[in-house]
Amino acid sequence: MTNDDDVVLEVRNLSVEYGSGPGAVRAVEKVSLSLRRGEVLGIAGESGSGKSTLAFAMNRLLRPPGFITGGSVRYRAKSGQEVDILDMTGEELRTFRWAELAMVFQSAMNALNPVLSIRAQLADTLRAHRGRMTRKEEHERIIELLRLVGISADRASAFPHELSGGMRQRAMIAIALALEPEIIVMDEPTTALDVVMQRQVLAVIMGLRKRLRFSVIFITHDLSLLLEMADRIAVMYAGRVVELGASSELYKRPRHPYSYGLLHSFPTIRGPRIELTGIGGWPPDLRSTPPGCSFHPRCLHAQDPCRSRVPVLAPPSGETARQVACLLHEAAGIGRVPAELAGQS
Amino acid sequence: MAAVGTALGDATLSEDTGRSVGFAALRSKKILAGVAIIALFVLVAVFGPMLDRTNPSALSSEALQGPSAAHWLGTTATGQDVLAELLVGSRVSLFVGFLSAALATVIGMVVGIAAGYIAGLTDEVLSVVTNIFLVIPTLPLVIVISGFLPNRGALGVTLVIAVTGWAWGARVQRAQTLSIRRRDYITAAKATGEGIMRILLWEILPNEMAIVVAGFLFTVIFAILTQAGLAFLGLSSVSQWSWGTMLYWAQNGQALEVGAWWWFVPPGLAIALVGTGLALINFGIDEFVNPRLRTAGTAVPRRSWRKARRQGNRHQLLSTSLANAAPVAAGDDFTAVRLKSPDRSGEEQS
Amino acid sequence: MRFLTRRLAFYLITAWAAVTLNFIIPRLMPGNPAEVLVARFQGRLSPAALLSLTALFGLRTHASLVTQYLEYWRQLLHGDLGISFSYFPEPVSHVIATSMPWTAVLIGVSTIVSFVLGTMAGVVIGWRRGSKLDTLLPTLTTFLASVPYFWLGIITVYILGSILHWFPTSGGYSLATTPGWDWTFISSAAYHAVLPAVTIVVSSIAGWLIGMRNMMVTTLSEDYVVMAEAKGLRSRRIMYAYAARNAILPSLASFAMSLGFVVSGAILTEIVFSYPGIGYVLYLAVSNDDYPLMEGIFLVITLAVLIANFFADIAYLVVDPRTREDS
Repeated sequence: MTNDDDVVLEVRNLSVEYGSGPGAVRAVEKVSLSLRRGEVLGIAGESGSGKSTLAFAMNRLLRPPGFITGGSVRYRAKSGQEVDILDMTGEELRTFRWAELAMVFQSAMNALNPVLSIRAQLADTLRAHRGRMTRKEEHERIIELLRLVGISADRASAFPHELSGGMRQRAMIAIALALEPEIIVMDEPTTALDVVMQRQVLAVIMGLRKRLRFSVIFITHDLSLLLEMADRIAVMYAGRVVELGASSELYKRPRHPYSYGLLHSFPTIRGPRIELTGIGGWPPDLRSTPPGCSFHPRCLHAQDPCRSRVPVLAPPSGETARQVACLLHEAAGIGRVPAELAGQS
Repeated sequence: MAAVGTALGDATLSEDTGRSVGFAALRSKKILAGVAIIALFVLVAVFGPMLDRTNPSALSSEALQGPSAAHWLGTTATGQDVLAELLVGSRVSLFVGFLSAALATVIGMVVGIAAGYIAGLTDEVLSVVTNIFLVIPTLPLVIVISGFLPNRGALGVTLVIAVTGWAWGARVQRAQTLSIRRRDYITAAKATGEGIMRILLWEILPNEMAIVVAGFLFTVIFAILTQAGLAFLGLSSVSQWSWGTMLYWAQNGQALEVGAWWWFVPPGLAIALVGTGLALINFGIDEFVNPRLRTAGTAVPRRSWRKARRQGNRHQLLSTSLANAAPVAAGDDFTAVRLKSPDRSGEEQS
Repeated sequence: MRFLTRRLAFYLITAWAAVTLNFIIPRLMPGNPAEVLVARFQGRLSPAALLSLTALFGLRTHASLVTQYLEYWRQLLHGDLGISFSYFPEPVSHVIATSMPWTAVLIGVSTIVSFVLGTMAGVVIGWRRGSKLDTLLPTLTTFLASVPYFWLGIITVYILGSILHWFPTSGGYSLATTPGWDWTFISSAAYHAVLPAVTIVVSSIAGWLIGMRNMMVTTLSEDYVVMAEAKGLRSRRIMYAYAARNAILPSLASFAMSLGFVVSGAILTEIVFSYPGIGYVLYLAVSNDDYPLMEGIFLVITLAVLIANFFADIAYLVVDPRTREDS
């Protein structure tokens, strides 16, 4: 289990903008999260919610015109030493990347270099960070990594286009594990796969996590997946985190109307029958977000204050392990909390 | 040159080519500069000879004189006025250039769109023909055809260039048509029973306009250079003044050995400037068609966002625009730059 | 392999098309122009020569078009391209054989230099987009590319040759030396080749440079480059193994097409410099209405371009593993 105090990554008030000047789009707005050592933190949201942008920003991989406009991303090594990723110099960042924080991208077909073999792309990381490895050691390490994800050694010299979709994704995971990082950020790693393949790859990931004990940030639009896999879930909407809490708690008793809507957008095999209601309307155009709470146009419980006050992410009354950004749950609440969003979890 | 072709060649483009980018395109500096140059030359071609009535073919005894008040660009070995030759010659050079390019573009469009839209055997056959004309080196082919041609006037040259220069445009059009054909709105149009001609004219063609224009401009450069080359070789009627003919006479009159730079510099320079102007316009179009080529800091222009919205793509709006965000200097600047704004404390930005 | 066989088949078809074009064109023109000249030379032509010219141009023959076509092919496959009018009585094949090596070397070297310099420069300025070099170089090279080859040649000759006297302004070698495989000849030939080569390189480099730069820019925003960054690889490794190696693929693919342009430019350059290559010979042929030679040169040039294309295809196969088909 994870130690509540052993935080390995702390994001505070991170903001990202695209473009500059009056037309700038706020893709991520003052997001604060913490990742504990050994846990799986899920980030859920629709496309355009800023979750992928957040992931890229944390590792400073954003391309212009994307800019980080504020906040900090503090990494705490096992030794206890802390450093802000956003403050690192070029070389510090280079050595930090992949050795401590690795990523698995959504589409392996796009993320793997088409003209290099899998072996070469694995060797790349080893040579860039562990320069003093001998060829023999390197070869052994590559075979070992491939074995971890269930790819046989004779496929090492294959090129990405020669592998099946599931194999490619597993190869990406192997590459991510190359330097035994503390954190692996996975951006929709199974979205491009069919359901059967999804299960397989997820099983591989979870198995490896148990063995190698790394922390995971798992980004997806598929909340149902997170409910199974994640220890805690952060729900994002229009660039902000609107709810954060343990996944089982979130499932039983969502506090934010958006989370509630998401949970009622897919059927479950077990559990009580629910009515599929979905969420009306469209995600907002980030160039002109609604004033006040960005969710209010689609919210069934919206009231007047929601149109002008921006809710702050804070624990709802009576709970400490959860955080919600909703005026309904603020101490000086705007009214009664609706039954479906209240009660003991 | 393969230059301009490469980025456009097999590009599968966003649907924002065509109508929506029309007006935004006019704001590009490169396009404006290019258009200015071309406009200048067209004006000179049309009005120049009217303003300067010197007869370029008139011989005189003032042979091989440098630029002077009487002859702004000097004279040739036979005492002809170089400036007059340049002005009159601009008409043929530009006319042949634009007309043959227009013809070649039309042929290319027909072949390319037909190949891309009808597909199947038609596509195979047309593609082979296109590739043949692409691979065979143009100048030798043009020379051979012109060599046998009885009529070597402007019209003959125009036809020859049109017949040999259509292949590049055809290939690009075919690629673009192939990609558009699979788009949903074409399937929708077909499903609602729109006739083929209507689909071609109203759905496919408008989305190819940017490429057609770029291809046309590229072909104009090719046509002007080829015409000049032909004239230089003496394969074009030497009594018809054009920039290439000037170079022919310059070469024959030993302008080089005699050091009469005013004779051979102006026509070549004129061709080069026209070519550069056209290339600039092409660059500008290139940057619009491939948003990643635009210089740093600019997001996707608002107009194309609005168009995407109107097409009901609101969902996709943000993701596509983010995906198209243009990169700037890579290298050392890989990591995202932090704005040096005073809001590190996280105060609310308004 | 299937890729190569398809390309080979295409080249064979193109070769056939070129030959057929050669056959059709004189017969298409009103009033066979070859007639006139054959009449002029008639007295001095051997019966064999007359026969071959008849086959090439269909003069005064009552045979059907199909028979003529077959006869044409038969003759070609025997290597008989006819007799040159301007180099009378030398056979066309001989004229071409003596001038071809000059052009091959000139174009070969210039193209390779231009490709290598252009692509490398494109990689560098594509990597460092937005730098001063990036705004300057493409515009400059475009201007140079819009300049007619021969004009650029003329200017270069004028400045570097006539005024500065740094390089010779014409010829393939100094007339004081005799052709042979000795150092004096080769060095003289190299010396004379500098200006024409420089002209070709300067004119054609824009294509490679801009094409490569644009592809670099596009490639740099690909996911695999982002992942390479995320992996903490060194910049140089990313630039070469991830970006450049993928960006160069379209350049290689379009190498074939560009070859046509280079050939055209080289022909014109040779004329300006009176360089004794096949382009110059073509010019003389055109000036003298030497139809057999003109057609012969066209055929040879086309075949050479096809062969070069084939080599470019092989290179592409080597560089891009996706074209190799494993079972």
